[in-house]
Amino acid sequence: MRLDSHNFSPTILGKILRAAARSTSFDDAAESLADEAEVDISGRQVGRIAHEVGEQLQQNRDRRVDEFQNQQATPEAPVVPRLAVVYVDGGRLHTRSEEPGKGPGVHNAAWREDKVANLVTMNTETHDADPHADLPECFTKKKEVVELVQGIAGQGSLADVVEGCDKDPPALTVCVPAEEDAGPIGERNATTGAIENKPKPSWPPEPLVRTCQATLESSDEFGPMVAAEAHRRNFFAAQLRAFLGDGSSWIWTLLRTYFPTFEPIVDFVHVLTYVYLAAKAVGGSATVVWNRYLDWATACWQGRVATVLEELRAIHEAMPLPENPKELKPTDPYEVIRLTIGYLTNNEARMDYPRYRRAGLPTCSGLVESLVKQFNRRVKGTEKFWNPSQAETILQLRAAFLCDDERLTKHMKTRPISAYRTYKTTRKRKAG
Amino acid sequence: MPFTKGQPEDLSNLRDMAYGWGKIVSRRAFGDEGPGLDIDFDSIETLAVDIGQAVIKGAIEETLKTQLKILGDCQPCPQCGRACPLDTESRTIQVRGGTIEYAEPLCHCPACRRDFFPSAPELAARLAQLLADDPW
Repeated sequence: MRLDSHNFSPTILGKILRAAARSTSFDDAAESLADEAEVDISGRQVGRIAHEVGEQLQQNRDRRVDEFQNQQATPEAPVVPRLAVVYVDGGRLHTRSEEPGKGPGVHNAAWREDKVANLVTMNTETHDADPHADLPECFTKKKEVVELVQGIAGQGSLADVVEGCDKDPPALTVCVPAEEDAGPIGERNATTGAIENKPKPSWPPEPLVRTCQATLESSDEFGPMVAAEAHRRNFFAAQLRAFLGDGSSWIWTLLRTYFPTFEPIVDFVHVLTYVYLAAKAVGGSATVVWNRYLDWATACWQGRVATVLEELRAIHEAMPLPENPKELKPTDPYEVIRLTIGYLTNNEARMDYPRYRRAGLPTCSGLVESLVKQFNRRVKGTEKFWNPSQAETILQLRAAFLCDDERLTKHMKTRPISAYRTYKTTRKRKAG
Repeated sequence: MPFTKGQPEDLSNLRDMAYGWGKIVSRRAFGDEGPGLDIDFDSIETLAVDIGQAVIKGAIEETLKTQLKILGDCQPCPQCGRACPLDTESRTIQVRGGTIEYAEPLCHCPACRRDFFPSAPELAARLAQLLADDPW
């Protein structure tokens, strides 16, 4: 019958879970269920069901990881992907202490990093020559670049470099070639006036199917989770394999341990952010700064990172040494340039963008940046402080909901339902 | 998920029949002359949904009752395989379009001191294995 201890039919239970995963809170989910599905349920009960199923999903994930680590897992995807890309990034959420005896309310509030992986199969073509040698137009428009820089630099290691912003950072745009800006539908022919379909651009690669993994666990735990999922989807047999990240060291450790055959690529938007901040830190009029940014960004796009590094090192050496180098503010020009040199030096080997484009690989990690935002929409908020164990289960539920392979629906159809009655009847029997 | 298994392949006859019931309901509710012009769409829709929910409730409850009869008087315990008398327990379940009353089959194994539901397909598979290993 596939009925569990909750008094809802399997279809209604599916609606409750999707609402819990989609809405910003359990109360919101209960409200939308009452309004749209005419299901009478409290926010607390939505939460109970969501955590219960999230825990089941977590157990499934852990079982798959165990199978992978014991070399008992077999790929489930029948087709070998043309291009398999693993994107990895981190978000942040608020947690609170789970220690008993502290009473209701938030105790020991803290920020924790949730790690997110986006595993995407893609359709792509390889090229003899660079299919997009020029810097995309979206990176040459001042307003868009400033918004991108604020979006990126507001998080992670660059958080202190830009001035604080009250508003949420704008959503990242995925790197789009300049030719596409005229519109995807087509152009009007000058002589006939007819709309002509433009040929589909051969780069960047076209995303096909995505699945994701998310956890609050450490990167040591996260690595096998991502690798198990990649193995399940037959990523290791793909003709082309790429691994994109923002340049954080844990990401490359994960790559070296679990994805050594994947091409490591550092997200170009992060490179661009560092380059922009460095160009600004060197100083000069707005035009000079902008032109310097354009030169450096173009050089990085075209694989001439060494040139940029050479210029930056020369500038840095020419700068007067600060009196207390250890007490420098992150916004200090000397420090910004030092950070940029460090970032570019550490990631230079992963910035061969012309070769990646010729091979038909992506160069921007916008797909995982936007996925992190999709997770944040559910788990992050000024009023949300999660017990770490519950944050983990809600991340599993949200991940299953966001996967293209209908993971949540499949789980609900195949999950084991206990044949045994719980305490309720036993109590009744004892009482009566 | 309900109505995915064991349903008649062609539901058009049943749909036609239910459509006919809708017409009958309309006649019973508003008479052969139909509703006056003072009855707005919302009222008509509310009545139709209410009746539709009654059909849902009736269809599901009747199907479940029929299924219950198939189970017989006793069912083997999934743990020890002992035949246990079948009882029912009333449960209210929210389904699409309302709530239904379900007399859920329930057994109690005195040896294992546990209650169990004898309906899940996994249970049947486990039982088959259990019986093959050690028929009681």
